[in-house]
Amino acid sequence: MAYDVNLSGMTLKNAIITAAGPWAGNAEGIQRCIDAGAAAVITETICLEERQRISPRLFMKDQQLFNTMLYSNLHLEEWERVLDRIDRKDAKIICSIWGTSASEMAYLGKKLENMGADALEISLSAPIGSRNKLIGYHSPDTEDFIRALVDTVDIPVMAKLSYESASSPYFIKELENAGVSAFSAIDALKGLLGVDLEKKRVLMPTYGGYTGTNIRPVSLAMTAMLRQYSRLPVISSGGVLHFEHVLEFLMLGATAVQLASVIQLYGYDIIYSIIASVENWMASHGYKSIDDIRGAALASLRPFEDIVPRTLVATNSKPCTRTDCTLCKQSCLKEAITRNDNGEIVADTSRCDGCGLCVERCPDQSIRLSWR
Amino acid sequence: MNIKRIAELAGVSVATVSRVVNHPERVRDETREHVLSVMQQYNFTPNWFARSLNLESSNTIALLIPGIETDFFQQIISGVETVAGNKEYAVLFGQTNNYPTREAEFVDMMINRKVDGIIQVNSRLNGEETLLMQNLELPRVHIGKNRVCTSDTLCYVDIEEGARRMTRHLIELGHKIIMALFDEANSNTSEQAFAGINRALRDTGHTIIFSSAQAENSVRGGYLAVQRLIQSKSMPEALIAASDLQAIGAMKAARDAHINIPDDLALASLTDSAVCSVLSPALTALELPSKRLGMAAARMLIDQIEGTLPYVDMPHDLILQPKLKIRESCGNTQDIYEWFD
Ligand SMILES: Cc1cc2nc3c(=O)[nH]c(=O)nc-3n(C[C@H](O)[C@H](O)[C@H](O)COP(=O)(O)O)c2cc1C
Ligand code: SF4
Ligand code: SF4
Repeated sequence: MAYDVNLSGMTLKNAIITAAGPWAGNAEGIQRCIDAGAAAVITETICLEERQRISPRLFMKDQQLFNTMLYSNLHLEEWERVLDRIDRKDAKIICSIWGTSASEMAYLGKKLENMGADALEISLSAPIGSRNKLIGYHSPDTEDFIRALVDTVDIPVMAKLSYESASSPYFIKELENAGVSAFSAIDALKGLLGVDLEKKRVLMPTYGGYTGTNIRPVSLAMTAMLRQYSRLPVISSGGVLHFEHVLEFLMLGATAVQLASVIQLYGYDIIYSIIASVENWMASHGYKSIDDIRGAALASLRPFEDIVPRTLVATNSKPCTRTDCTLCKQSCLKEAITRNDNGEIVADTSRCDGCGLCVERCPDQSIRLSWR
Repeated sequence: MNIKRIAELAGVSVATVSRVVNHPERVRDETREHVLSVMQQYNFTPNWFARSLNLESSNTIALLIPGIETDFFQQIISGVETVAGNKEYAVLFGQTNNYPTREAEFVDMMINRKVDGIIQVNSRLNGEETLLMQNLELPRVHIGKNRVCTSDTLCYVDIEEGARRMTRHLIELGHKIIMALFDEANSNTSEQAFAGINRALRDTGHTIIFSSAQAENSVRGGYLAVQRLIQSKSMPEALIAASDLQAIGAMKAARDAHINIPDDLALASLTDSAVCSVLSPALTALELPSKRLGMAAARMLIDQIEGTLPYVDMPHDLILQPKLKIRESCGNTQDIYEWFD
């Protein structure tokens, strides 16, 4: 079964791309991504000047991952050797780049093209460090800035967007006009781990990139929104941990999907297992091509205004006498849920206004919404 | 037929084709044989190919630089050295002290030593000396905004834009009487800074009184300039110094006269350095990507020397943007210790 994907004229053997990050920061890492079956590997962001790493640079609390990593620590000459040394097999190499001016971007992009990059991804609005906000989000200069690169190179140029920049239809239009051929969205959110109350100090020394499973809902929404704003392909990034997440993004119209934190947290082997699971799922459902599912869920996404208000109320779908759970009661601001003398949960349909939270939170599906 | 087409036909990258020509030892035997056979088949001998076959390469480049005292020039040297080292080139170094004749002598000397290319920093060559360069086929890159010596490749930091943003920032903080100290030995940079300041003055809706003076680019220069201002009772509300050194001198003069920075005098520097963030108050300054500038210049030069690129496709002007590091000396009172524009 062939689940290959066409991205801006490149044939990807599957829909999985490894995202820009330290897992693809040297030849060994890139090779491991390729060997694990990634259809394309995006390098850590390359600049004209290398960036020294700070330590520590990864922070984690519960499921929340933060990084303070900005740009590759390799010189461009070392990247030349890296790109030379790796055995690409049938994978594509996409170089992530950043520069401070149009000419810097154009020069760097052209150099990397000549070193063998199959495509470029502009790290347009990374959340870490400081950069000219005007270019990363919206300015009259953005178009010239990107166009200089697009006009100089002969390979596809993709723009990697932050949540903020992806949310602006105006900015998206500008990038289209500048000639980018695809959008990657989203980059990490800007985040802070928290504050140590006793010491009155932040728990990490600078703003970090907040990534991983918690940002997936944001990224899902951005994929769907970009599908509506733009005809260009969207490569989704943000919070993919399981193969189902990949399928979700595809069903919202993604052309391909990027893996990032999941590699950082579970190692390179996860790439292979996600690819295999996606293909198994596709095959077991009888789909012959990614096109069979791409964007399939978009039709069910409606504007808020078009949703007809219905008068539903909570009722018991089965009796509940659990004494170890009060989730439904806690959830109800209307105090519609009580226990009767027999210790059974009862919803008072005259008080209930149908918000649905008790239903969402009930672990036993003991409550449902039905017509008043 | 061009190098790109050869790369396509041979099924390799452009870089590989170029390496086959320039550094055949770095290419696997089969790949080299294959690429050479494709080149032969299509009768492909680019001019740079001929050049690198005929001329003996010395694997040496020259760097002509006005001075080595300032952080800016030191970082440029470091950047050039880094890339040259990566590419296995040695760097011959000449300090011109801003004298065109000295620079011309160096160019002569470097040619005699058979360097593969020359990087000139803030070149002062003009007039007759330029003729010398015109007849010179040696690859050259100018670090500086102008094409004084007919070099067709140049790179520079956009000081004008940086100075504009710095001035705009000072105006936004409410300073109405602004003065700039320029480096008397570096008219090139001073002119760019002046142009940027002027743009900011033109774009603002406020009425700003602006003046400027020349001073030595040193702690002493800054110290004396501010002493003079104090004595003539013509202190501005905000002072833009040409460098961190000048700004440190200005701070000392202000402290001696019990003038508080930033309350009585706001201060900002057109160049940043490691000391700016540890001064008290921390100095607002323009971070110039000078190491990156040196790296870029060396790359653009080696691009030409090795003909590693379909050179016509490459941008020949490279402009790097500085970054305004807003700290405390300008009168910024935000809690966060440093922020940037
Ligand atoms: C440790 C780390 C380093 C990263 N470095 C880069 C980078 O160099 N360039 C870039 O564009 N994105 C970088 N990212 C962002 C990822 O490519 C990705 O867009 C983001 O992590 C969201 O996806 P995720 O939630 O699946 O991790 C980095 C992310 C992490 C966790
Ligand atoms: S649906 Fe909302 S209002 Fe109704 S009982 Fe449940 S929580 Fe209360
Ligand atoms: S949330 Fe469900 S399981 Fe928990 S008490 Fe309510 S009905 Fe019972």
